[in-house]
Amino acid sequence: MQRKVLALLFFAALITTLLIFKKSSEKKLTTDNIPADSIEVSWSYTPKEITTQHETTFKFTLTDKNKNLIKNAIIKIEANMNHAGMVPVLADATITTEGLYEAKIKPTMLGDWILFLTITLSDGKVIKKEFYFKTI
Amino acid sequence: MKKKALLHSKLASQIALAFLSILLIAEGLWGSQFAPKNLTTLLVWVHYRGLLVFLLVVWGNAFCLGCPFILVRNAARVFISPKYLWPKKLQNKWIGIFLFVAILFFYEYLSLWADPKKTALVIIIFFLSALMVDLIFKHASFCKYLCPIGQFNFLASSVSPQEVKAININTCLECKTLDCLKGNKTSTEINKRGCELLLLIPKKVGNLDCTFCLDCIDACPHDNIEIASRLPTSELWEDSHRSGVGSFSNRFDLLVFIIIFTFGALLNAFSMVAPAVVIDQFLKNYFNLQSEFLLLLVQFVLFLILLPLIILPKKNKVLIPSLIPLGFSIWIAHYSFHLLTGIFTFVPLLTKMTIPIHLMGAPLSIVTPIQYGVLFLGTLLSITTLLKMTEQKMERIKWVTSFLIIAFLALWIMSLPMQMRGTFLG
Repeated sequence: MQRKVLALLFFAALITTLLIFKKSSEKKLTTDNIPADSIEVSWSYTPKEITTQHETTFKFTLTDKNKNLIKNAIIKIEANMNHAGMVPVLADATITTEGLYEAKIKPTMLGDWILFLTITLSDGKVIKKEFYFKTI
Repeated sequence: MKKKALLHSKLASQIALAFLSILLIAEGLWGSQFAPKNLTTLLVWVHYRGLLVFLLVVWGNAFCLGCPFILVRNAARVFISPKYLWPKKLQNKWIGIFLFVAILFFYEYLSLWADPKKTALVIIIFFLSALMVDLIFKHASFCKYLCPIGQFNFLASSVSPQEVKAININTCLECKTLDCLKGNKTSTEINKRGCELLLLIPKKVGNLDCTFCLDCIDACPHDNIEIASRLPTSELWEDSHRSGVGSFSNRFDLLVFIIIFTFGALLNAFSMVAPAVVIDQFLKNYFNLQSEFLLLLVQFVLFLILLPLIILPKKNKVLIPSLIPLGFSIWIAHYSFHLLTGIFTFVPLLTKMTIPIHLMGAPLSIVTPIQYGVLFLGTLLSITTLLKMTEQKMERIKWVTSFLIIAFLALWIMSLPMQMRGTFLG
């Protein structure tokens, strides 16, 4: 009888733990402060072939819905790959001309990369954008 | 270590891993689906695999000892007792081999390392499979005949420095009750299981099929069983009859599995480097093979069937077990690469702490020599094992040549830069 009670308690503990961790995992997912499509972000990079041998210069242009350049934003960039154990490459974009942002990144591995942009506007609002590229 | 402390440690590790598995299921199903930011993909494919091989090398079959699937199964067996014996015709490793190859295949095909949800489903499937099988069939049928992780651990633990064995063989020879195999009941009528993998201690040789579950240690009324030190690979030197297993020369399934274990290690590493993409492109261009499933199948046939047929000597199959140290060293070199280069990447996920990028993992300048060193040692150990197994000069030359070819292939693969393709989000 004692063993049955212990076994039942064990299963109950597992299920309770699952529900607690479920809530915790869902809570960790962050949402954007403002809709990502309220701002347009276009990008370009040089050289045209992105390799692991040299830095690539990424340029981003931020515009609002009326096509006005957005000034004085802070862009933090995380370059990463979608596999476990990956160490990201981090960079902060610098402002070159009004509304144009630039960052130099050297990918560390061959394959498919994702650029995660965290854009903080001058009014404090935060937007996240993603771009994809491949190294050769 | 004293018997009670050992048994309590086992239970503690099983409970800890059970709750960790629950965390990983939750995180995988409901957490971020970006693999580097999800504990499930990180802890399963980087840390678990790396620690698994590390503990096998320095100790023994630690993860089977602490297996959470078996803890859940044991709890369920309090309510449901299995009635049937595992079918005699299936008392071999063929299904286990199929499942091992299937795991390797679907790991690539479904990009499991990049998919937290699917990784969580793999954990759930393991739990349900162990439960289902062991609630229907008696003993540890799931462990002995099916579990792909267990099959891997059994072979790899032939290189481990520890083994569960009798302290004094004479005590075993005088024993009439065979509690280590049959189990016993104490005066309070609590059953103590005997070995559910059907290994009789006085006739047990080595770590094959031993999950280090310690049921034999618990059941032995003479306290005559211990986890003892031994010379790694010494159990492979002779083709003796092993309790619950038989001899290698009579177990074609085991010999096939050793080959798959070794060449599967090459294949698993190869899938992450550029030549794998080149082969795919060649097949697409010249044979118009567009199906990803078939493209991968071709690579599996190449590595698991064609390469062994080309490289390995055809005679005296009883020497095949000498491959194990080299095969295992390829697994270690591969898994330690992922573990060491990303060892602390879990810290920001668990603690919200930001740690400097250069402290998240070891640089390649440190990791690569470790990989090469491990491969060298594995090759050396296979050669040493072979020299113990045969004195025939021609046989030695042929097998050493095979080892060197395999080692060279492994070195070549490990020297290539890793690349991950087809893993964009969504």
